[in-house]
Amino acid sequence: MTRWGMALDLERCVGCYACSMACKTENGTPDGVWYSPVYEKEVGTYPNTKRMFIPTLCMHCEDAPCLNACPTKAITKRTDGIVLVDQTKCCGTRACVAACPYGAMNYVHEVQGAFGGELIQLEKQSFKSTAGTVQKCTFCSHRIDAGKFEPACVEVCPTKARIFGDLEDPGSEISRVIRSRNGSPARPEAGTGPSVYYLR
Amino acid sequence: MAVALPMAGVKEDVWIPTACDMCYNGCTVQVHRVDGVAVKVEGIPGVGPNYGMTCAKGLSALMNVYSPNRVQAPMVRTNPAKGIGVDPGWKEVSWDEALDLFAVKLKAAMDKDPRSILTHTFDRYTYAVAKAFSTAVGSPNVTMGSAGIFCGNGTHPVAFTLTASNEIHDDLKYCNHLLMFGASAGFVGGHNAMGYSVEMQDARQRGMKLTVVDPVLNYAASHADEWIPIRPGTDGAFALAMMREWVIVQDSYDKTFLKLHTNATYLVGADGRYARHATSNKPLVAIAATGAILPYDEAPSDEAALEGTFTVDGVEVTPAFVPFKAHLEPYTAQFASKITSIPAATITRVAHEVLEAASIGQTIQLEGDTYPLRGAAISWYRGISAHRHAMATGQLMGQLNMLLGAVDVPGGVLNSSSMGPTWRPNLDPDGFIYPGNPLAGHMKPALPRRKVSAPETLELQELFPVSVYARAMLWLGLLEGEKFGLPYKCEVLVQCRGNVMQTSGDPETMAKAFQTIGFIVSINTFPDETAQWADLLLPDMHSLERLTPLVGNPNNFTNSASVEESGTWNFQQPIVKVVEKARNWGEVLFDVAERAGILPDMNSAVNAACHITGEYQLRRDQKYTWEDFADRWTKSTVGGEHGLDYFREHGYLKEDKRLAKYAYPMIHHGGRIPLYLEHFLDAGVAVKEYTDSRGIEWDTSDYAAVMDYQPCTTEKQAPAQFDMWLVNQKLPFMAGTYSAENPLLMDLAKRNSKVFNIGINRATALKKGIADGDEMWIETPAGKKVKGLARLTEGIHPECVSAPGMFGRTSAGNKDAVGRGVHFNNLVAFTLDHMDPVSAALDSCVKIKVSKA
Repeated sequence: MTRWGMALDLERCVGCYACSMACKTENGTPDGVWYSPVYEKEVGTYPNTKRMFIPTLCMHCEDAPCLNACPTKAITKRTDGIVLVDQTKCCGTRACVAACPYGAMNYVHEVQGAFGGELIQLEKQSFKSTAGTVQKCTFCSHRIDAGKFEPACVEVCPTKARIFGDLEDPGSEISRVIRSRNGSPARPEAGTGPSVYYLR
Repeated sequence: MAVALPMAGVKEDVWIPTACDMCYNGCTVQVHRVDGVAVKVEGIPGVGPNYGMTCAKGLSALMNVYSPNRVQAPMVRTNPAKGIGVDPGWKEVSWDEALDLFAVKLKAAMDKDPRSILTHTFDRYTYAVAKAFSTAVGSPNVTMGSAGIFCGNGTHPVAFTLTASNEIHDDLKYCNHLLMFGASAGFVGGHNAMGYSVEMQDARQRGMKLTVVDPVLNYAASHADEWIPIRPGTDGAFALAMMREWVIVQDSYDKTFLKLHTNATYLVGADGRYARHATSNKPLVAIAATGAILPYDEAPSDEAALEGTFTVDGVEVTPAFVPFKAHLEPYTAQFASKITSIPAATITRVAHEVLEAASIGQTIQLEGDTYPLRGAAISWYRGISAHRHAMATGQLMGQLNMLLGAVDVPGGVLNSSSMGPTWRPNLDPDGFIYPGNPLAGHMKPALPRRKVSAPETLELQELFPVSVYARAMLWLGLLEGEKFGLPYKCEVLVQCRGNVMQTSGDPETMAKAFQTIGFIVSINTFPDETAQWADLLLPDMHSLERLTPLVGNPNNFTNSASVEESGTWNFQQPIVKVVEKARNWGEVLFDVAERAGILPDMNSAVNAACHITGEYQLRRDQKYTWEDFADRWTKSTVGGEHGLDYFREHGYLKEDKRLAKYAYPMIHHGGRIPLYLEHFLDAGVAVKEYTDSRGIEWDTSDYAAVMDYQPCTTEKQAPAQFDMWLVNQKLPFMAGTYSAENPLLMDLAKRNSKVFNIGINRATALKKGIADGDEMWIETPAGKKVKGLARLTEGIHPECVSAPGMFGRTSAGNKDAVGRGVHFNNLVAFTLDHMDPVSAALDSCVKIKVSKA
């Protein structure tokens, strides 16, 4: 059985935001909603300073707290491990927002366009949001289902800092790199079994 | 794949290849169009120069094309008063009226003095059309002003000097220690931003050491093995101390390279000039073993002396390496430490590390030839160039590589385009290489030196005989041309794409300069700071609306220069039409040329500027459609079977992989590169003679054969209370001023604390009573004052504060951008004494004082 996962190489990520933008334009998220932001953290004291760039997204947890918290059962986990919010069932209780230890759930108050006022035609065609619901990263399941394999954020990364693949296949690139680089999830103490690993 | 513009009501779902225009690199991308609406930009897997990857800017390009804030129609100014922030009082006119007005003003200026017409664009791809237009009207004034003020003044000349191409790239395939000065190449910045980023991370993961020298913990320094914070404008002192360590202390440098490939062995006299052969006039060298004196090209190069004293015609001479070595003597690590603020031990250690990594003497077999293999290289960009002594510092960076033998060899710094299947560098009579690539671009090669003469151009180019351009001098020519002997004033500015008012030095100086221009026509996508000065504003097409041939070509600096990489041709094609009245500015120039009665000359000039030959040449007596012209240009350049139809069908054309002999031509081209800049001496004398004759004070001290460190002007002039420096910081997700027109990029910018805040070293801030998030003042000696929010950081030199360049907008389509952040350029002193009189760079060193607001 396939279990999709992603490894994020912190040695290679240079904080350029290509992933964030690819995600935004692929998934048509409204103004201010970014499924895969990149954070920066300064480490050390002058002059021994470095800056880390930390890409984030939904961790597609094995034991997803968002799923367990949702009172309307709008959140499901597919057999391939991808956790999705069904916006037709979501009624915006935001229980998932509180439950997610990774801040991956975005409650959309209002579907606003980037230029304010009315949505431009591009936004009308590409926005997939409903106001009053929660949205999050889907691992670009629509691309995977269409046979395109890689999520948009992975495809564009100019430093190849994102590796996507099957965690259940020990021979996959992602499995190998997690083993060889001793990859680990963020905040393992949350105990949710993320499918996203960080390579440090 | 051939796709026409969408038709109303037709169902469609297509991907259309084109070239990105959100920075200078022209990456190959494809646009997803559904029912006539462009909905997504992506790369094309595996296709260069970006290998299928796209950055945040390119991915968000649709928000520029669909912006409701674009210039929608031709407009004339009704408010005769012009100034920063002054409402032009636009009144819409028809294209017909607009072109008539344009042609009338053009004709009038041509009748008075055609040289008074200045054409400006920052559009690299269609620049040749602007150049042809300028030629057709009879003016020498065509410029890419937005580039060339803080940009490559000190970098292109040294790239030309080293490699006969306008750019160098580091060979990350073989480099084991890269020492980078003032750049973010390989971190989604600089040229070949995408391809180079993969190469950089691969090199780092294979173990290449990266050392970054910069006042700011920039994107490269963030990941570097070592970040060496340096006082702004002092990189030259660091370089000199490293060279002293290698040459004088260690006596370890690539002597073979110097003998075979440089002029280090050329004999020079007490006046610094070459000793030349009596009849052939060729520079002479001495054979070390015998003392025989021979023309450089008749002697076995490896036997020529690097040191010693010889006699030619009774005059004592030495190899050029002797004065080169002697001038390094004062630059001890301790001396450089005082200048740069870098500990002397660090300077010495880095010098040793780099020298060791260079593995001088090692070779490698590639494609049947034996090449020197160098494991270390020194790279550079804007940080060394945007200074009063840009040329000197640039040349010092080149000399570091020459001493390591790391130029155009595996592991070193590489030409981006000097050799290809059908061209190679030319050699001047003294044996030096200069460009032979017909597509070399819009700069003058730095070598051989040009003649100095009374200025004909508004940029006073004639006074810069070894620079690649003098674009930053435009304001001086506009305001004080007469003083320099310029026999006319600017009557008409034709401004096509580019925002020179915001991207030059301080806008107040530019405003004074623009006030002198009789008539300004601006062809622009957004009502930006430059458009606000126009008498006639014309709506330009966005790149996704227009046809532009030959955006990317395999022979320029946007491709990887390493062996086995392949370059790519690409083009831009119309994908949507968002602004109905927008037109391609190049096409507008053809139209106005026709109305002004100069179309035959325009066609001839286009043939020359675009290198269109044979059957594809434009005839003088015919008006061509833009498409026909584009097709001819493409076929003439790429070959008859690869015209527009080919590109429409395929989108791009990949060239063969780069062979070792082109990537590493130093052992093949037979030319030399000057370690000792003898040609600078007479260049300086000529400049001095001319400026003296006009009674103009002009510093020619940097026209030296060996380069010394000199401090930036601001450091010498600023009163003591101006105890800090303002420095500029680059961001991988913003470029030019058009990024700020894009709401998605602006949203990212707002989420990054580096963009609109002022970075200040934590310890410094605490001493000055400034806390994180406090409002703080920055004040310059010239009395300029700006306020911003303090961002306390460990990632900046304690004497510096940082701000990105292009914010603090005064006019933009996107009102969200206006007034947000700091306009760095506005604080720069835009005066002659802050400019490099050799390279025409503007010094971005600003001394400031800071205080809590």
